[in-house]
Amino acid sequence: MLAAVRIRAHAPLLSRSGQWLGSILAAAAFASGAAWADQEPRLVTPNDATTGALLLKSSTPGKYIEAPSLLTDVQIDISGPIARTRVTQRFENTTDGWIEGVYVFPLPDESAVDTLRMQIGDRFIEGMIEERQKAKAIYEQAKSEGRKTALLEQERPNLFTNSIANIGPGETIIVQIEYQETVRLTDDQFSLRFPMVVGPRYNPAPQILTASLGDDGWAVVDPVPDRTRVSPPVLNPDLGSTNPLTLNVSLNAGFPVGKLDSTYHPMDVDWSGTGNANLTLSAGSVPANRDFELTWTPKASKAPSAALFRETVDGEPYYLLMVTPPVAAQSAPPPREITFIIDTSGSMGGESIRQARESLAMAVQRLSPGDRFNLIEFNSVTHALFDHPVDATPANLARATNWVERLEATGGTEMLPALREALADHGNADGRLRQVIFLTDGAIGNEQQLFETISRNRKDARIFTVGIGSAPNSFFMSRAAELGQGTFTHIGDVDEVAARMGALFTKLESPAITNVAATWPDGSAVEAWPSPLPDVYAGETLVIAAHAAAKDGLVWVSGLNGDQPWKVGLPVKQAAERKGISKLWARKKISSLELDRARADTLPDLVDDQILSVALAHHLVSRLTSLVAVDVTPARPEGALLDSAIVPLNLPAGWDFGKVFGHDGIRSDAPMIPVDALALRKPDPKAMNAPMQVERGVPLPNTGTLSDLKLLAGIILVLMGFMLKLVFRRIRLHAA
Amino acid sequence: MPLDALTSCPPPARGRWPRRGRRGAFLTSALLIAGLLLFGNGAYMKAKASLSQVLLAHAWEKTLDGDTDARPWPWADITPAARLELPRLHAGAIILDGTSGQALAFGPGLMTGSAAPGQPGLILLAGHRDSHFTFLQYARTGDALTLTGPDGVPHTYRLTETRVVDAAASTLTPGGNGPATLALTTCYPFGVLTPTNQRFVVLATLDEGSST
Repeated sequence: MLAAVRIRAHAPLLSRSGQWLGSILAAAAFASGAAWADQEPRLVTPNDATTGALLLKSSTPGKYIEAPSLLTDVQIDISGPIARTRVTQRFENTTDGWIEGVYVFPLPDESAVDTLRMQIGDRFIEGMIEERQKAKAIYEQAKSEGRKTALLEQERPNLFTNSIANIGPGETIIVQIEYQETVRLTDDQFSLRFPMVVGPRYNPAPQILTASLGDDGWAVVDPVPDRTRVSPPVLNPDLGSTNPLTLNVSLNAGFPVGKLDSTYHPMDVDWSGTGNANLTLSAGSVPANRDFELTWTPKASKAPSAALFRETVDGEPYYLLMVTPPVAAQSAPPPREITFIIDTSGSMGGESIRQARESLAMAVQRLSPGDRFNLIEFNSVTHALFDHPVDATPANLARATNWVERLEATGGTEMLPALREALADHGNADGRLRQVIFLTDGAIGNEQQLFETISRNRKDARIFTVGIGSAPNSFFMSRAAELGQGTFTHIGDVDEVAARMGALFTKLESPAITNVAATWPDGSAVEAWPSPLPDVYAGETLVIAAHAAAKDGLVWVSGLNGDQPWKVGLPVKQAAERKGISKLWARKKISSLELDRARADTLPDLVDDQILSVALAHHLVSRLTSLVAVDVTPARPEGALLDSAIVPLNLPAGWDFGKVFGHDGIRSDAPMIPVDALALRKPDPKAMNAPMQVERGVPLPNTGTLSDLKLLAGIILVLMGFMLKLVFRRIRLHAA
Repeated sequence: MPLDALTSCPPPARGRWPRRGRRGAFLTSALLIAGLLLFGNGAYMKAKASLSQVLLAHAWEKTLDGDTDARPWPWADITPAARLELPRLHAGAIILDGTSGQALAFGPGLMTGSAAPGQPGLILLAGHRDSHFTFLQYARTGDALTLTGPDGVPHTYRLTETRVVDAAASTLTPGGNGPATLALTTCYPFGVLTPTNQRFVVLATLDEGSST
């Protein structure tokens, strides 16, 4: 009970309007409602909030007070293909108690997070990389000793939690996080994204809980076990935000830049050369409610088609290799053998099956005369339209379209036989590109078994998964696509079917570079990631990170462009020096190992050992490692909490809540918010605020059927029919 | 005139309807068929809801015997997860694991993420107002609700509160580590024939004394 009051700040997991970085700051509060009863009229409910305010859960169920704000500054340094980003979070404790802040925030998918820094006064404390459990223990220990401490944990490869303990009354704490990533190069355009919003797949929170608990290869211990005590944001998306963000980009493209564009945020550009520029937000600061995207293209009409960079760490060279294969000259898409698998189990009922039917119908329309295809439906039983893939003749296509229209969702989800059937080699592919398109909501539990089937049976087939419905099992589908060297497309809404499927077909129809391989100079030891190398689709760039002993010679990247061999050689000696390549290599190695872990023929523990050692060696946050920073000097006097706990309850008049309550308040003059208002007290089992923890909660399913209406309407119609019959009989009798 | 009338309206041929009569007969049969189909469909939904509960009861017995994948019928993609009873109303139902797709047509569903019976945290059950959860409208504060998990141990929850919420803002999230709470939800208002956005929620807390 001596633990400091904790303010659990929880970011946009639950936020549809999507504020990030502590956009949800919430008190973990079970408290006696009695003391608050008098004040109740001055508390707000989410619906009362008239500004984009962050609200803290108060001790009265369903009532809120406004949270302290979080300021964020982002500095992105782009140097050639590598971007290093520093995120500075400034957290103000405007309460009069000792609090703990926890934010969950997104970072780019492939970000290598290696630095955590905490600023106290003018001192900086650097975070150390530790095994996750140990880091947590260090953090908890420091927290209980009253020392300032920060912990950075990975929840998903693109979702992180930052916890800061023992922030004193009225104190400001600054935490810095640094990560690096490679910039994207697609269709001759370079781009970089900084996510401020967590995508809907992390929404709502209970999904995360479920995913964390699964034996899905992540085995993440929930870093916020009391997640349910965290309130979501109660933001009015129309009205600004209390979570301002400043952003600055320093670009050193390495070539003369033609077009430079910030997609969503107007920026002031200060050029200091043809390839160098400094960018700042024109608005100064922006609400953190939409992703930042910067794109740039070279002045020359084409982007460089190959690049090689090197970093030497402790005498060991690390290379980053980027190659854009030429777009194939052939205009007609290569002949393909396409198998569509459609999930018609009961869980696909309703909207999902409609989306699936529409997607399939579109897919069938797009087949060209030279293609072969088949359709496989599965629920409890597997049913294929044709015994083996058939030519896309008008008659066969008509039969398929007709079949698709009549698909109904019912029964169980026996996915395995369907997958086996689709992957089976019928021996008549005649060198066609084999593609399997798999439409499902992935509501299955035997992922491992399916992954095993995919890796064992797929041979040269490419698997493209299409997730149907609002909450598909994206873990299963993205992994299946990665194992099958394809892509994962998510369709969450009927309106998206045309656009998403269209994009997928374009990818499927364009020739890809297959059988990609990189050959390093003879005799040199090399560890290159990703492994195996993926197919490269039209306009995409292959990025390889390698730890190679070679210092001379040529590295060859080869592949098959359609049936034409394609090869490009890069002189190792001419590699340009760039910082941070070793970290990118380590990050790519970790993602590849995580993927391996999903394969049935690997031992998870062995893979974990490898992940752990590479993450520790390169100072990276991973599923198994966290960064922890601890101040040496205790800050919170023992028993401080007990004193503050007896402060009479004072409503936060002023404390920036003015707007909520309908009058202006000035924060600096405002009285401190009493800690008790947010206090974590012993849960009262009788208190009914337990289910009130998350304000919006899960959407409740529709539980009204039309059966009564149908019964009633049916009876009325039958009665009307009989009455009419009587009337007509009388008329006839009359007539007779 | 009489002649005109005769020619314009010939006597009906034997075995055939007059023109107007034929149209009338068509309308009559259409109404009767449509009515019977609608009635049949409605009745089918009701029958499915009742019959599945009988089959589920068998599967539940198997679950209690330790079968972790007891299916009510061989091709079902649902399994029983718990048994709920409200002794005062002699009402109850077998609860299914999950609320996805068509599962609710067969029985009330246990929302994913829910706590285990008798354990801290929220258990959220959803059921159809016009079949399995019709009885909720007669539930009163103080009623005992018994929830039995696959381990066969019954846990008694005491009804503390009923409320009506918007489906999208229920404030209910399954799981967590709050007090052991059972929440039952169904569409509201009862007896209305079309779907609504309102939900009736019954909250009950674990009766510590009575559970073992």
